[in-house]
Amino acid sequence: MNARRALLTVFSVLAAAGAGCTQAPKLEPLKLADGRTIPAETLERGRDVYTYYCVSCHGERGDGQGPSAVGMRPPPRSFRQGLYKFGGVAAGELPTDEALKRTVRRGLHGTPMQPWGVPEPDLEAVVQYLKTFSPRWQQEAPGQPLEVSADPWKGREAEAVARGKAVYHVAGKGHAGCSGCHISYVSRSELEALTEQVTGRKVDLSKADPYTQLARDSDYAVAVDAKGEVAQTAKVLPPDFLIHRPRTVWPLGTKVDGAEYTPERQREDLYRVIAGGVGGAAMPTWKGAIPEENLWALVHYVQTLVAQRDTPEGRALKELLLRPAK
Amino acid sequence: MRLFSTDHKVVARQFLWAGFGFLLLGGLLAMLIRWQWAYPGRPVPGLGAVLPSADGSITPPAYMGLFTMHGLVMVFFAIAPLLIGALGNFVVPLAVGARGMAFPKLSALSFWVFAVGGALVLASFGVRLGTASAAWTSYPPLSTHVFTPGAGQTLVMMGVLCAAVSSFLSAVNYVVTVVRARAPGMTWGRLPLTVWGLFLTSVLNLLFIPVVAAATGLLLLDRLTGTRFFLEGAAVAGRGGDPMLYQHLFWMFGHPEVYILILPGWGMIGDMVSYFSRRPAHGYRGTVLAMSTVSALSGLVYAHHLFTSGLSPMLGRAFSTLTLIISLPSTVMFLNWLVTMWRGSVRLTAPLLAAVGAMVVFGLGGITGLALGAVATDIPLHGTMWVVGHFHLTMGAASFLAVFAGLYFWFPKMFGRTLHAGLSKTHVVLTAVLFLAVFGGQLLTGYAGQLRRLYDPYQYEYLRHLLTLNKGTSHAAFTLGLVQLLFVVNLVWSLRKGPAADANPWQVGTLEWTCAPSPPPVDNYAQVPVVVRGPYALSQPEGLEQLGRDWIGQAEVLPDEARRAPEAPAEAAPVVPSAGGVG
Repeated sequence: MNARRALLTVFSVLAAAGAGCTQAPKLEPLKLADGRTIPAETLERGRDVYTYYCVSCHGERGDGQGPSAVGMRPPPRSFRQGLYKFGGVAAGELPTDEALKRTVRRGLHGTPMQPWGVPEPDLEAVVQYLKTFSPRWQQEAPGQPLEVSADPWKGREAEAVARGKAVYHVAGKGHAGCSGCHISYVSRSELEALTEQVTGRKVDLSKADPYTQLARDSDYAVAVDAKGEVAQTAKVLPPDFLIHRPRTVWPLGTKVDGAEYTPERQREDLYRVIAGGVGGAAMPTWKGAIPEENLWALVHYVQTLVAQRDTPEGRALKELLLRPAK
Repeated sequence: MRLFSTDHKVVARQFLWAGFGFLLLGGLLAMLIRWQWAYPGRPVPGLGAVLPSADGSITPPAYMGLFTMHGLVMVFFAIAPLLIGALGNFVVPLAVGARGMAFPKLSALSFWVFAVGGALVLASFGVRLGTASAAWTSYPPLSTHVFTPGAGQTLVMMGVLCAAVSSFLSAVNYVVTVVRARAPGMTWGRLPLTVWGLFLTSVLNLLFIPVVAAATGLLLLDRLTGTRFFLEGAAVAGRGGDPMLYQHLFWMFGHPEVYILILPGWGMIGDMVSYFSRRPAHGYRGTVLAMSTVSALSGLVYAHHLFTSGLSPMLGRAFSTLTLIISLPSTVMFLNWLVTMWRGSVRLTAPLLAAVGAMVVFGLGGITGLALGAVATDIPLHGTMWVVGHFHLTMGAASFLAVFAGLYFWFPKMFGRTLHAGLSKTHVVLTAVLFLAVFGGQLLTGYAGQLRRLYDPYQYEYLRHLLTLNKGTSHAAFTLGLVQLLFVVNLVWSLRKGPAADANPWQVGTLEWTCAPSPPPVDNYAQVPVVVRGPYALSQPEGLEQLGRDWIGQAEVLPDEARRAPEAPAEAAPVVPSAGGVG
């Protein structure tokens, strides 16, 4: 019958149109430098997951230039450089899958990167898909994951904080001297005393300004030239713990990854970022550079600063540092 | 049955089956949404085969597709074709005494445009990145290619455009049929309320469908051709358009749409309460006037959907007042229906039970809507499940109960067979009760603050205790789904083995029951009937005396009327030629 044939034609045209829409560029299996080969199906699934969750900020080409990225501070990560801040490895090395997944699961505190709740198989796929954006993954294996060692200060927290304060503010002799980039949280006289106590040298800080941090160079591209070469890199301000929120550390008592965020977990997260450093930024890897017990002491001290953010005590401390009573 | 038949009764049946198909689809999607709210993230039994990549559990992207398509399919592809397409096409020409639709080819075209739209919607489920997922309202910028890049969204929007064109074509047809093709003597005051409802619906469709078609069309241009009607800010480099414009256009149609989908139902309720109380419809003129007033007001209240969008508070107050005024004509209608039944000789048939059920759920939906019409209460409730419960009671429960009232009533005329009365009644009563349980549960969770559109509401501490309530509601919804099997069994059994229906099983006086056999022949009436009275000549003393029955046909001349005026017809109505569609 004529009508039936016409109908059949209409529907087959529609079906063909529908099938045409399903076509997307096929992806090749990805050979990673760590020996794994990611099958094309995983990458294609990852691309769909990426389109749903990531594209609006990180951009279709993974360059951090998605439509929602305009004006976003900090800007969304570009995956094209293969540089990651919180990789769970020594700073600058390629991150572990676990670290990438942790960032997607937890988000980054104080940034538009939310905890996304991506189902586990989709998460696996999208993490593999991210690796297609940078050739680094095919040339270099991810770094050795940093182990979180046992806290040597258990039961001696007050002692740890006191030691940590020295490790933070003084450089040399196994001390980190964090206040060189981050700011100092003690008065000038106390800083002089701490320095003398650790190094045995007398210093005069009356002319120095230990309370203003300077933006540091980083490897993050904010502009590329026509050839795709990095034309300009971003400067990154080291966080002031009384003002800024460390990205991988949450306030106590909140739910993170579905579980209560305890002081122990907070210290572990601080340990991870201090030990490993921040990839691509000025923060170096501290594990191995200073003794493990100093590293943990630093964790305990920074935790007291993080706890004071946005509290009356924190504001009072800030006030005292900037306008000391003469 | 010819595939491209222009007979309005065939087109009606095509709309009926297509509508039921999409109702099944929309219903299954609703079950999946309810599953997610009762057992968040747990695999759906049996879905593993369809969604192997997620082991049968509903992922967030899948959930977005589910609730988007549930809404779109139900509004554009289930309620509209069933209530307006199927019952409208079937009833309007028969009830006004015409031989067919004014434009029979337009009738067929309307269905086939709808079918193409439906095919596009079905195709969207198969494409990469899945079907549309920007909610049934398709607000930009979410629905633009920037944030929903999948082809599914485009296909669905084209489908909606087709449904809009189909509704528009139908509306032209109904309006012209009612205005120009009434039988001699069929004055406006003698039209059954159902025809009034369908007529007013069609007028609203004519006025407002073009608005949504324009909005959808502009959005499609944005998606496909690089225009920037609704893109702004971060979504577009350089100067863009205004996403708020879409919301205004959408609700300018969207609010009348609520009435588009319930006015035929109101008409049917008015008819059923009269027929099955064996009394004339009380305050017929008042009811018609009230329905017309609501139709007129429906175009003036749309911005009450935008109270939380940054609308000027001054406008908010005006729209709030206009919205609340709608309750006055609605009350007139309700009182007229109740007074019609009062001391009537009520027969609890399936159509009446469905009509009363529709009255109850619509009443509750209307009352819960007052809280959304007033700015002060709308602002805290707007983002919650309260809104979901409210509009499901009005657009979902009431409209579908009206569909069942109409279908149970006209089924013998449509197919010439009788449905099983017991099954029909059980189905209607259980459905009405379960509707109240499901949508009542939604109202409760909404009042408790549960936000709508959440994939997993329990990620919020303050909503965690609602899991028990939501589970109960979901189980009521699953039962509601199962109860529909009663209807399917009844339908299949009756179509095959149901006893043959006689011409007038309900004993009412309207033209389709008194002047045509069941089912009516291609041209409906052997002779175009000459109408001499209104549709509700029930329990009239002269009928009881002279005919020995409690109803008189609309074209039936009583023996003593014939004696008194042998020459002229009872009323000097202008004789309008019946524009006849030939099948």
